[in-house]
Amino acid sequence: MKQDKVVAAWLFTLCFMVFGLVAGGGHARTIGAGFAIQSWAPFTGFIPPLGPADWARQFALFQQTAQYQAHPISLAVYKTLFWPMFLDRCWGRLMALVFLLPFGFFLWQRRISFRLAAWLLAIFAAGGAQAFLGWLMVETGRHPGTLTPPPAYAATHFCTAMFIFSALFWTALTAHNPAPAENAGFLRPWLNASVTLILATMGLGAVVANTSPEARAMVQLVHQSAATVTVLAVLATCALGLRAELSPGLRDLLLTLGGLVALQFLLGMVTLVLDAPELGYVHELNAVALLATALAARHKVSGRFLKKAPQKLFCFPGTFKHPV
Amino acid sequence: MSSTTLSTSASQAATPANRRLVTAWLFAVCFMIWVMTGIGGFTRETGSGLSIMNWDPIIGAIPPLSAAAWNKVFALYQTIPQAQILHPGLTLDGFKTLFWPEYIHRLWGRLIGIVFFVPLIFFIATSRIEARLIPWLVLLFILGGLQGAIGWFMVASGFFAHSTAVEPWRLSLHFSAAMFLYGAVLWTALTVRNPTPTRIARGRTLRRVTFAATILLACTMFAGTFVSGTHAIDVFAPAHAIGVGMPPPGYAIANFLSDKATILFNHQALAAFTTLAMLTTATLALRGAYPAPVRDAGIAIAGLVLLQFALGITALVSKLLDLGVAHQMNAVLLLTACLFMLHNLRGAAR
Repeated sequence: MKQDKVVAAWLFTLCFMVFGLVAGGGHARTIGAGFAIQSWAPFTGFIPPLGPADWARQFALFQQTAQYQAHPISLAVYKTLFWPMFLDRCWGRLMALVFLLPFGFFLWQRRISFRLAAWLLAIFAAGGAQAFLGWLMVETGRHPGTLTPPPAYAATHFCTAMFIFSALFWTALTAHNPAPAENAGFLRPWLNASVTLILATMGLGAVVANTSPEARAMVQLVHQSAATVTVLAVLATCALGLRAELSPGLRDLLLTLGGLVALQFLLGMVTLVLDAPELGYVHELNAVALLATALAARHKVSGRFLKKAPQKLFCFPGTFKHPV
Repeated sequence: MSSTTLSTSASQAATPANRRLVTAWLFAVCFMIWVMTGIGGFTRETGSGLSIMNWDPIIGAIPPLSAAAWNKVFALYQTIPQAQILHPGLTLDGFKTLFWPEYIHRLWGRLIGIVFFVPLIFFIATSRIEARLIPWLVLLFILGGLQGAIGWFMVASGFFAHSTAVEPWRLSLHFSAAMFLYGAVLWTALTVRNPTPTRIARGRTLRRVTFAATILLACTMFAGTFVSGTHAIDVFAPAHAIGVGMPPPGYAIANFLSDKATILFNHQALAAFTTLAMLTTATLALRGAYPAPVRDAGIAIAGLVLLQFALGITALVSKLLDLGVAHQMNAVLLLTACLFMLHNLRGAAR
């Protein structure tokens, strides 16, 4: 892949938009709006209800959900659930446009290779599948007794989003800098482990966030244990990297990585102790920032490199060097 | 004896081998003081600090050896208010669980005295220590003895009428004196190990920030002694916003040493600033082009301050006093990392 800063900027924009989608989805979950729109029209759904008749039709569909039957709400309250969900879906449609229009233009300009085009189309298809999976999740609202999106659907929906995000972000990084030549190859396995652990802990976190508080104890414990291992692995990665002579770019990425993972741990603890779902939402968004930082650091050491070991632990130059 | 002989003996005293020996000895003393803070914390947490009612610096090293001796110290304990208020109907076996932590705390203190004094005499006798260092080390030994006396001064306050624990300010004094002593021994060890400062370009800002962070740490640790001395975590109630980092209602300086919610808040607020200062220190140390020891100190400071923050929150939320002891011991490690950083930055230039 050759360097192309314009393509990179386009892909980074898409990554940022995925982040926006995570923010929208997390917000919908926090306010309990997941089941609000019980219809799916991929192309015409961008038109909101325009008159009382449209609203009555949407509301009638929502009234079929177990959530409504357990906790009936007025049309006015329904609208406060409808709009965030509507915005989230429109954001997804906007992403498709932001993807397709420049993609077509770049193809026409022959700016992107066939290989890259095929890869990007695969990511686009994954995005479409992600939207469909979202609809399947929403549709469970009509199953009897299902009051919130089932964790199996919601967590899968979130993990798919993270895989798409990772793929897009990695591609963007490669377009930005195709041959990163950071001389710190010893960090490669550490960063592989960090990225894997972060993704796993995030998936478990999505299960926790979508499980009802009463049934949460077991998944909570698993998420916390995974989080502890992740924090230790990521901090060890940062410490090992920062002890060596690094380029300023990678050094700052590792500093950011260490800071974000510590913040993430703290946010998780405080969310749990104060029992505050709003903080859980911040915790979720910070996780995406953490993943992005780990991926960026991993990308820096992905090129060809010379083998170079980190410094010996606790070698203190300047000690006992005085004339005898 | 001519001056030539004297200077020869002085240079002999400063040979690398001798300096390494003295350094190892002083580091061992530091380690023992660190362990001592753990034992002291455990003594406080088990509420056993008042179980030995006299202070015999030398003879006190012998524990009760016969049933009669046990009965004597137990009878003495039963006369104090703590025994009557907190432990009515205490058995001799129950008393022993209070006795041993305090006994071990005092015995460890005596042991530190021996580990400091015997090698000191040996090093002086064999001219392994530079002459200018001797008065300073003798002073440190005297201060160590003083620390024992402060400990007794603290314990004595627990025998007052209606008192079930020592006075928190005396506990603070005891811990603070320990920290000053620890810092002095550590700094001496580091200086013997590396007597000549290395010039570090563009290090002055880092040194100032580290210094400020260390002062903040000292303040937070001092505030922390009041948290433990008054058992302030008892009032932690997140549902009422007490102990979650917000000033309690009626927050005023007049309550600084008495109101538990105020004491807890002060410690937390200082801890937040200290954490930010420490993270700034670490970031500056790691982003500048500094020698490896400075970078290592930066990594250690960042890791220890994060651990310290997590331990503090966990100790508070779980109310596990053992975690409070771990929090206290980790604070000493953080202080160590800061002093190590400052020592490396002695030669900081603009």
